[in-house]
Amino acid sequence: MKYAIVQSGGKQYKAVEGATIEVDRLPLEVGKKLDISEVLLISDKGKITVGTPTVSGAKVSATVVDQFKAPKIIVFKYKSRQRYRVKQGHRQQYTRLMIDKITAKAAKKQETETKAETLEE
Amino acid sequence: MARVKTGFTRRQRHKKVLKLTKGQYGTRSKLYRRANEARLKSLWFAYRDRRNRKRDLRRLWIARINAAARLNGTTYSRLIHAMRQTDIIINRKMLADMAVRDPDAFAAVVQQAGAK
Repeated sequence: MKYAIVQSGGKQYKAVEGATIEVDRLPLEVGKKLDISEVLLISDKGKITVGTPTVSGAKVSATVVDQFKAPKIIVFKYKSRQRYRVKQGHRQQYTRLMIDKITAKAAKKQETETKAETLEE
Repeated sequence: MARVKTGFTRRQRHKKVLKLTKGQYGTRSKLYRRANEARLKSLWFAYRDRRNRKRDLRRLWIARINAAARLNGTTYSRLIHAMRQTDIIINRKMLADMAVRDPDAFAAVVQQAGAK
């Protein structure tokens, strides 16, 4: 399985080609394409590239498929015996991205052997 | 002053609260007073625990990363230190996910960071 770890809005996501991820709202219209260059790791059929901090030249192409709001959360602050109560609704805004393509780019790559050395102990 | 009758309004107000506490234990879903207390508590706990959840998950991730790190002959603290030194900024959420779903990738990160 080919996947990449990308960063958006200060959060990291696992991007798999052909799947969607839900990131904090990006100010783009539905149907627009974008490239995420903050790629922290790429795994392609057992070949793993670890970025320091990003994989240089790598990018993840994505399409905005939806702008949506999460289910409503009721923000309720309350202090006993202080008569303090605040009630507020909140719906976090998200953007759903379809991951089209993960490009590693041959330019400069640091490849790490991935043979399982985990079983030694 | 004229006496104000609150039949309808009060019933509506009570219904609103009881609707929220449906399914709670015993009188907490049946009696307005108990239900109202339950409502205050549960909304407040929900608010608080959304914050606590972030800590809980972070703890869980750290535990998982530590276990995986030890399989790779290092420890959590050494790994994080080595990652800082080598500018690898993959966060704990993703590392923990890798530790479970893709141990080979985790091993690659350990190697790249040079953690021993």
